[in-house]
Amino acid sequence: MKWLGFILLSCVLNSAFAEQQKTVDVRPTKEIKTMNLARIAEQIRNGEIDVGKDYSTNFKTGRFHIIHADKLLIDCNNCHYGKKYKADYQLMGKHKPMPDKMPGRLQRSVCLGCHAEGGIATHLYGRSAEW
Amino acid sequence: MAKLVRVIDMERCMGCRACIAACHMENHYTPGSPWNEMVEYENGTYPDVRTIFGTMACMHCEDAPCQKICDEINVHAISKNEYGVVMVDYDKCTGCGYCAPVCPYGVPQLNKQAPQSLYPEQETPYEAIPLAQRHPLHQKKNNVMEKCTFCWHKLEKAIIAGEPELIGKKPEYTPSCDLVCPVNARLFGDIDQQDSEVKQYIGKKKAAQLKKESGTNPQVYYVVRGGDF
Amino acid sequence: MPYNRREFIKTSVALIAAAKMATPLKSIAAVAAKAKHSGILESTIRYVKSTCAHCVNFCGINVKMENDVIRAIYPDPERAPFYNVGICPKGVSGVFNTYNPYRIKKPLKRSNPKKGLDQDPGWVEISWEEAFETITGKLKAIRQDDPRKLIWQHGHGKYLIGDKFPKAFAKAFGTPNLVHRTTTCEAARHVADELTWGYHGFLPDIEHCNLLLNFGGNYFEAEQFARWLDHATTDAKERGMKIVVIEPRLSSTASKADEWIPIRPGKDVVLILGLARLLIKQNTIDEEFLLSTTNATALVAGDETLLKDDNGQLLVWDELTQSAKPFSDNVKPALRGSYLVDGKAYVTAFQHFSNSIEEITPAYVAEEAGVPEKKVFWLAEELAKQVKIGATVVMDGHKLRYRPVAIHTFRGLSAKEFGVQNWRAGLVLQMLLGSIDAVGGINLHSVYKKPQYFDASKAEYPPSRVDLQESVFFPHATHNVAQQVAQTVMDPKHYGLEYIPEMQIFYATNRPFSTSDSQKQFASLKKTYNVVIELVMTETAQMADIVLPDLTYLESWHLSPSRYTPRTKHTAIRQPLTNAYQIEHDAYSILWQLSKRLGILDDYVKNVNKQWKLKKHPLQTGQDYSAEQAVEQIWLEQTKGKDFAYAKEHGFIGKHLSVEKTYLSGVDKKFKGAGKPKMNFYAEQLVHTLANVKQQKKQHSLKMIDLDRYQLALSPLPKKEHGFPTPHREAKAFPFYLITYKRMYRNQSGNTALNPILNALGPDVQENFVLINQKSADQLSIKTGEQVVVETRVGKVQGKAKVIEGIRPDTLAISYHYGQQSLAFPDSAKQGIWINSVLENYSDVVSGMESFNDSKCRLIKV
Repeated sequence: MKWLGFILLSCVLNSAFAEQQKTVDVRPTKEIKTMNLARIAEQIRNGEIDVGKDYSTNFKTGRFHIIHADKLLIDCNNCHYGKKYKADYQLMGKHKPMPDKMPGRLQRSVCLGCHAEGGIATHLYGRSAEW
Repeated sequence: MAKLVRVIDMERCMGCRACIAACHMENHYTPGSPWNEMVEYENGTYPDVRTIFGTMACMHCEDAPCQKICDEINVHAISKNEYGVVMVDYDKCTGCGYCAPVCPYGVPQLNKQAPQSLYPEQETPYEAIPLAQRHPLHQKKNNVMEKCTFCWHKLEKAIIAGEPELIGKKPEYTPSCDLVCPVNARLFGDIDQQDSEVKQYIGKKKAAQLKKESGTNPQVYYVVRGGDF
Repeated sequence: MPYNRREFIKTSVALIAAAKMATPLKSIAAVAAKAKHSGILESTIRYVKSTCAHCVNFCGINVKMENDVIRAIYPDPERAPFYNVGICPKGVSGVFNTYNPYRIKKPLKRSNPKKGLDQDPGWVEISWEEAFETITGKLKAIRQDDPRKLIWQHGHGKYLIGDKFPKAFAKAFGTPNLVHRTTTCEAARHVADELTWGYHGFLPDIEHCNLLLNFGGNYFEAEQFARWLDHATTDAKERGMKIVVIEPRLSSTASKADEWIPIRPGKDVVLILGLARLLIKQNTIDEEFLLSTTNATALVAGDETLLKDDNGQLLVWDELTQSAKPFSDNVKPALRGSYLVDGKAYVTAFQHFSNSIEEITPAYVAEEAGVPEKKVFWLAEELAKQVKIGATVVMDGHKLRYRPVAIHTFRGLSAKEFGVQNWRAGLVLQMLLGSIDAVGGINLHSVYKKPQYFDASKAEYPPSRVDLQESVFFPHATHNVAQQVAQTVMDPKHYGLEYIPEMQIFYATNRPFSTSDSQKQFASLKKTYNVVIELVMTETAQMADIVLPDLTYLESWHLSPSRYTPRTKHTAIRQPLTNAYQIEHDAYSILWQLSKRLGILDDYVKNVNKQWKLKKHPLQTGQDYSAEQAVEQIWLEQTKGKDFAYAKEHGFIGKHLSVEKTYLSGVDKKFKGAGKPKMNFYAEQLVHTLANVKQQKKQHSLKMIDLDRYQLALSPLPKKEHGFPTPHREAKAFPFYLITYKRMYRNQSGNTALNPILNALGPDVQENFVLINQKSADQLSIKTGEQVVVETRVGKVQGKAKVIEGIRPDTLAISYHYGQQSLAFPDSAKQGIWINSVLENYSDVVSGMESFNDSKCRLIKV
């Protein structure tokens, strides 16, 4: 929820001071990166950015890759690992034999950043369990 | 209410893969799309090393991301019934593949051709069982998602017979993977039942859910020893 | 099926009764309605009990039939208290052992006279009539000439119809040459048992054991009693039993153990003797057991024989009268010391043993066996601590010895050149601990059933059998010598065989593929006329002149063998569920046909009755018996008249054994106390066997008998030299030890290679690998997946490397039952390495046991 507030505030500030930002350091900070992602996500949801109607993971025409790779510019390596995969990939899953339909290995915890409850993207993952 | 839960005791599991074979046999295995997989790896270095064994099938999450995304794109092929069993409707599934990357456990299997003969050379009587004679969950189609169903086709019989309390106890009402284990490393039952065996096991043996941070609330618990968690 | 009123009431009642369930009524209705409208064609489901025969566990199974199609195989829950709780993946996927397009469906005759693994036999289908006529013709000629020229070989066949039918046939035919596969399995362990306590077979008393030392027995991947040991040890571990697994590779069994001791291959006997030495030094030994039950008190002369009186009674040193006397109630035998009797020097067998292992210090064990000194000390301490010498426990009103330590092995100690001596060492150690037939120790099966095992071997020459069983070559080989047949057939004169074998019938065995140094086996098959009875076109079948189809275990009747446990036993049947390819005969009816056509049917039937001990329910001569009818007679006899309908309904009948039967009918009954024979701590008969071997060598000028080799193998006590098999001594230029092992998903017979479910259990099951330690792999720059060549003194094989932590750096391991060669198999079933083809074979001359784990090799990156 606080992300939304922050975004709104940033939008307000952004538009208010747009004229005076020509000399401001525009190297993307973490907040600005996320802000951009959130803005793009909203634009996708309200149709401003067209990502097609093909609900599939086809990396040329499917919405999945158009959204994440083409529009949100998430690097391929963020999700797909080549032959090696990180030690904290997932319990046991890192050693899971891959069925032939799934090319590459997926770092699934990356998804949580945006798709967990309270994130900027479609809510897919429930509230984190208490430890 | 009833909540069906599986417990896999990795302390006891010896890695024989009988449960993998049982799932394949029970559910008319589609080559390349296993519903149950053995995960086996070494922990430590010589000579202080052990191999860890565990199997992964569908977690039948309470907050299933596969169901969420399938609803989000208005396909609604994945549903969760009142016993907690998550299942896919082959007729509604468009084979888009969204459910596969969103599942933290890598469960959904996108098939190519199903049903598929295990012996390309000559169909056997087992493979020749007509589709119309098979349970809907075994009437597979090409290019759809398929996955573990907690052997719902067996559990359903218990409910119809009015014996839901025997789920996980009577062999006909027990998922086949849980049934065949030679070392009793698997339990299945209703966690809400009084004197529930699975509930006692989870408590006593400190069984836990995997990838809790995903907040999916799986209905499969693991007694985990070694490996990362 | 309409959700009718009756179901509604039934459901309501159930709901009220199980009010805590709180399942809304409409959910059940919804489920039922959905099921009804899903348009499923009706089918008839029934369940049939039977017994699996993939391996020698003979698990109870419950087969689900859907309209006469085998739909699934589950474990039989009724069998759980008596043996198996579940079933393994082979049993689960047994459907495809039967439904298999690669099955041989009709008799076949070869049209290409050239035999070889690379030769297409040019099979021509023939009728059963022609097959029987041809085979009978050949058999008749042989029988008239010399019936010994027929060799019957089986392996798994023993468990399909039993070895008693083939034995009866061989007897009626007049050939002594019936050969089973035990020397490819665990014969050395059996012979060590027989030499020591007069029969064979044992089980650790897991229920009460607190420390289990397992030398390479791998019951989570294979093993004879696996489906009992797996759940019994898993339960016992939770109860608190400690498991120590001693083997060079981290097997699944080692993975679940408390301690894994990666011992150098072949050196187990060194560790065992090192432990014995420490126990003796610390005096943590069961003196009472040694004195009362074993011949550890016997007096050993300079020539290694034992001192006896004129009646042949063993003499001991009586501490009371300070003289040599037979062991009676008034005598107090000395365990230690050396004594003079009639001017000659004697030492007690115990003392002799103690002296002989003096050099086997923990430092020596560390040096030779690769087990750190600290570990040796620790293991001895644990043994001493856990064994509780002197303790008793009361069960069912009986006061019993309580020694909760057991030493177990299957092929780990036995599949070696010195297999007999390795397990003898295990038995000797347990005699020191007093854990034999004690509660929590090892439980022996049918103690002293055959006293003749305590006699020396006649070391017969010339040999009467083609496998040289109990001849001068393998004087105590009491379980046939499977791999020897091929070698004798290649050169009968060399072995002094007085006849030249002409015909071999192979029943359900792929023996040549499964032995060590296996190429030699195939060469011999070119020399005989071969008939093979098999399910699929195995490598052995490919070398046949005539191949006959067989029925699978799901298609045939049998009085099944069954496995016992320390507290249970059971009698089981197997019954047919189908006949997938309408095959008319199986080995049972083939034998019946052949006997009939040879005119020896009556004799055959009489021998069948003898073999099966059918006294009250014999088969009658003058009538035919189907397999079902024969099984019924055997069932009636073995269950003392229990109705056969019971067998068909339940599949088996089980029995719980009394405490007396389990703990008090073994060594305590047969050996304990004065006036009874004694368990052989010291296996004196081997000394006399050696003398007979020497005599035969001299008399017949047998140049091929290397007396040094026989002297070492026929030692009355195990010694450290038994840790150095021939390849270890000779193949110095080959740096790696090479061992084999069995994986859960395959058998040697070949039909498991064709099973699509067994090939789909993971990406790593369709082939095998060269297992190499990470550090060794780094030194040679080898990574997982790369091609490597393994070269022994026999030959080379190539395959994929798999780099792991769970193996000794100086050892490589390659599983067997991969690398099929049959021309009839698809490529998918021929993946992997045929390791048997390059394993060195130096058979144990005592028992005939093949060596599988003694080879040395080098590794070359391709």
